[in-house]
Amino acid sequence: MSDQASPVTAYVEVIREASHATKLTALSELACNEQDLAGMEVLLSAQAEDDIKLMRGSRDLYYFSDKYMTSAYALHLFRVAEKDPARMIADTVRDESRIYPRPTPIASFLEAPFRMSKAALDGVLWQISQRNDMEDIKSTTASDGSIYLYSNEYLSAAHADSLAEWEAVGKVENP
Amino acid sequence: MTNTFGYTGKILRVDLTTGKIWTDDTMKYKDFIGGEGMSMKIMWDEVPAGTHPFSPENKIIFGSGPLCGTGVPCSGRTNITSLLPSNPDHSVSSSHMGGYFSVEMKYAGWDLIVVEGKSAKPVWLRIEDDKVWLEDGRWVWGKGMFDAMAMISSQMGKEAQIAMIGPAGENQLNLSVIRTGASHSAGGHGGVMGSKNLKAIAIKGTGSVKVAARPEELMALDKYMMTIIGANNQHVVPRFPHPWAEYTASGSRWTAKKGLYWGAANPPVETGECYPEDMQSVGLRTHKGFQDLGAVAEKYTVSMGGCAHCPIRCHSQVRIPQLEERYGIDPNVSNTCVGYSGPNGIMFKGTPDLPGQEKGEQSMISKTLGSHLADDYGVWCNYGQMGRDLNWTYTHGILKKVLPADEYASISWDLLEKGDPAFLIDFYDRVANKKGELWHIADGSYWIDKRWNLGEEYWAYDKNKLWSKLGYPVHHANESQSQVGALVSCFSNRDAQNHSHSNFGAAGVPLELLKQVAAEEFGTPDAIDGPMDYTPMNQGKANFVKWALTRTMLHNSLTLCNWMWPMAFSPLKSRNYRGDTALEAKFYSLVTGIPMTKEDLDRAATRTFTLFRALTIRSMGTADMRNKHDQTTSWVITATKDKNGKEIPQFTKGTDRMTQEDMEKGRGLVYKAFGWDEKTGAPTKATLEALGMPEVAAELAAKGLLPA
Amino acid sequence: MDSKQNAADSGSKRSTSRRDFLKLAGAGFLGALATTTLGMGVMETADGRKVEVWALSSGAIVHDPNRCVGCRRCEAACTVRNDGKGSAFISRIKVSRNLQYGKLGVSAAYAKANGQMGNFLVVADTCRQCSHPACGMACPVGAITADPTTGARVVDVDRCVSCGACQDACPWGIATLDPETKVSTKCMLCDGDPNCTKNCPTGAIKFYPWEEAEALLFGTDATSGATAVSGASA
Ligand code: SF4
Ligand code: SF4
Ligand code: SF4
Repeated sequence: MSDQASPVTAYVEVIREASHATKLTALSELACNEQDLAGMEVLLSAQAEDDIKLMRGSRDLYYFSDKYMTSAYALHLFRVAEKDPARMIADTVRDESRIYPRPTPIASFLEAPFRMSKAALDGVLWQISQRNDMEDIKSTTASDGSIYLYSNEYLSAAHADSLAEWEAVGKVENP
Repeated sequence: MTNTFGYTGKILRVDLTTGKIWTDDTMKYKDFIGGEGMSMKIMWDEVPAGTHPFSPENKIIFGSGPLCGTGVPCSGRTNITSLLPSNPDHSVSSSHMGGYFSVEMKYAGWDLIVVEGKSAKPVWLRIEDDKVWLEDGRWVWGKGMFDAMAMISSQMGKEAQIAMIGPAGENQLNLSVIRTGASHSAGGHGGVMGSKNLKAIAIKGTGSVKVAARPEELMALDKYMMTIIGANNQHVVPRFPHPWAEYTASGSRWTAKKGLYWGAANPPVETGECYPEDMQSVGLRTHKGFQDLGAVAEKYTVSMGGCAHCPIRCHSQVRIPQLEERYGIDPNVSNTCVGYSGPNGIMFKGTPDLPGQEKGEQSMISKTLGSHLADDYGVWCNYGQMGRDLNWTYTHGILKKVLPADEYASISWDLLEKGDPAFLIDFYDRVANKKGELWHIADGSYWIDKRWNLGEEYWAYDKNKLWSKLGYPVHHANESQSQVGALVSCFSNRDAQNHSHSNFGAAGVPLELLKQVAAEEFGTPDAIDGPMDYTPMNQGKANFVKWALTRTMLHNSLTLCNWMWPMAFSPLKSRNYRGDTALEAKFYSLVTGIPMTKEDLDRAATRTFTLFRALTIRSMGTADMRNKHDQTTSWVITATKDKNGKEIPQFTKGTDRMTQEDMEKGRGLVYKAFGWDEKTGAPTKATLEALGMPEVAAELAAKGLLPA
Repeated sequence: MDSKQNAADSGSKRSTSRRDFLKLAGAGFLGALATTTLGMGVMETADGRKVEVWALSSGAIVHDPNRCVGCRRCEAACTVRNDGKGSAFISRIKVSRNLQYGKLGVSAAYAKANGQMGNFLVVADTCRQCSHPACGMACPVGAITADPTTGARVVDVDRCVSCGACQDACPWGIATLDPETKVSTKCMLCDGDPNCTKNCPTGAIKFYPWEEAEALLFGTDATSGATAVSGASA
């Protein structure tokens, strides 16, 4: 065994354990030296440990093992870790408007893994409405008062309005 | 009698007029699979058109199917078929209950129980394996169901399973239930038992249901099935993000998550992560207290309940001390879905929380109180319609007009206005005990309109949610899978109770995946539309409608729970979220030893559904189903408006409304898919004969009820 | 309670736990018992009485009423595997009979008593694989013995003469004559792979190695509700 192989192997185990405990592993936490980092890159590109995935953020690099966590969930954690809540909400809303497609209830950001406080959420919603790079994020309010966000790149206003009403009121009335 | 697998081979027959009890052979009906299918055949053969549901000549049939009792997941439901009093033409219809009754029937040796005639005095039917006799029912007559069940159990033994009516059924209310266990009600046929002076059927069975296959084969299929099963309503995607989950769905009944407990268990039980591969937490996936009663209910939740051999558990079991403190009612309540929301719908002015109450507490109290009362009296809410009917008739001053002044004045409307659930105590007493005029609210919508003259606007008002002038409401209609739900809802004689299509659309996976599976199942991805984004009718949707109608008939015959089955999707990414729609046939073949493919069973269900159609034609006295039976109320085919009052044209984004022209096209395509006459929607002679029912064709021909 | 005195009396309706048995037999037997591996034999107690000695079971299944949702999947799993048919009556774990009104049955206070018609607590009866099994000791033909591999008290169906002595003797109401085959059924731990536990959707039944099972089933801190009511079952 070469000398640098063992720290990399150890990191992989650290990453797996963290993923098992529902956590991402930031590169900064691993305290890699350059040589280890290179080793990690080699390992990832060779897909030798093909459960280990990397996400590049603006603050850090994050690893996770998809044996223990889906990419979708890791993406939530990644957005939380990046500490830009407005972006976290906007990107999550865009994903949901595109994938399902559906508007996103703002209340979902109070839940794990986002766990925002009501006050923080209100502040961030205001920020979103002000940010140029989030002009596509729109809101609609169902008749029971629940607020939904959507991206108008993927959902029209009429569609989003009716979907929000259906999610908040219609589904409850049609159990 | 020959040895049978799955089937017990025996039908119990009881004539209450003569007291005669005899046995019939199940296998002569085997082409109709079991449960609902066999019951349809017996109704066709033995109950002539024009019979009144409450006359001794009507028969009521309790049916189980070949899978019931073998441990197949979600196989514990009981099908009940008879003439339906709330239907204008008293057409044949089925009601269903969960619980443990049908399994006990099977273990006692009976596939079906057929009761006819009328007893001179109140009785209950006692079944202990092959020993069957009538017991004096006078001492339990008039009693609420909770006490009456305890009384019969104390006489017969604690393990007895009982199907029973309450005062509402005894008093022959159209809207009354037959109930079993703590919380399983079949709505619609309570009055039929009442008219026969039959309070209850109680069973103890020490026998078994034999399996044709080797145990390992059935065990292996069961294990495989458990990788496909999701949460309640076969939602395969959780509501909250989980590390294992790729998707979430806000309406999902997979409500488990870390930190969500059955809070009143001792110690509290955490629902937790519920990994889809973990068979030992399937029963924790659906926290129904949280789902039906709100977050406030978590700490009142003792556990979940449900039916025999079902791992899902869709009934919440809660302990609400407030019920005892305030109303002197036992605090332990169990129910599910509309069992809670239906009675709570009576409180249509809302139930705002009082000072000092937690958020949602008053509504939880109203739901549990209402559910307990409705379950004790045995009142059916007509899938939530009773509350909407009360709302309409109260709000439009109709009650003030039709009720005698002193009766109107004696009702505590102030409690209703304030949102005080105590209103329910008085309301259910008046209705179940047929006091004054108000109880006619339990006649069902068609008959209420006849009696109180509600007028066209009552039917046309969308929030009344009346689907058909036959007097039944929306139950997964146009809002659920566009024309598919809309058309499915046109073929029944009561609320459609069809979950084959609604569970498919609500599985929780993205639309693109839904469309892929739709393409595999119905020949085109266009069979499915996204919510509020509908396209005009097409052949794929017609295929989907036929599939939904026949699958549901199949489930009620096998008997499998159509609130869970079919297994079109699975929670496993490794299966690409695909379920297995041949599972019914695989189980059927292993259990009965009669090899059947998916297509074979679909054909058998088509036969049965066509027979059901013939029964409706016979009771209505017309073959013109398209115009006389299959039409909707007008709001369904009227454009709706957006927030700003602007009309949203049909088949554009933002509306789920239909057009008459498109629905007529849809009817034609579905008729054709069944091989029925495209003009009238009546089965043709050729189709009836091809399905092996020449006697049905002959009788319809003799009555002039075959299409030209 | 005088159960300890009566324990060696095979006519008693009360079985002994291993702990009771050790007290009865005297500590000197500990080694002898621990090395007993197969079947049963007869040994003398410190005060000169003769008692039957059974190899311990490897363990037993234990049911947790707090997690049980009353689905009865365990019962069907038991009889499909072991009898090729679905049945509640002959299941070797008994849920159905206690489901609605608890072990004690209907009372005037049913609405608050155990069971789904009451406080929702479902208490199953399970086979305790008793160290001194009343079923086996009652069997006149020796058809019930300790399985050499699992230690479970198993019925030899070929030797069973359908007399029902085990059914009468079992204090927990487990041993049951199958009305259809007339052969005794009781929990045999599925040859070491209990099918009920695998099919329980809430993890309410678990197999425990003997020491733990014994504490859970017989100990003063027993968590199984089945110990709440001692003596014969209804
Ligand atoms: S361990 Fe096996 S034999 Fe014993 S109760 Fe469970 S399934 Fe039945
Ligand atoms: S059947 Fe009864 S007596 Fe025999 S080992 Fe099991 S619990 Fe003990
Ligand atoms: S399988 Fe589990 S939850 Fe179901 S009845 Fe048996 S012990 Fe209770």
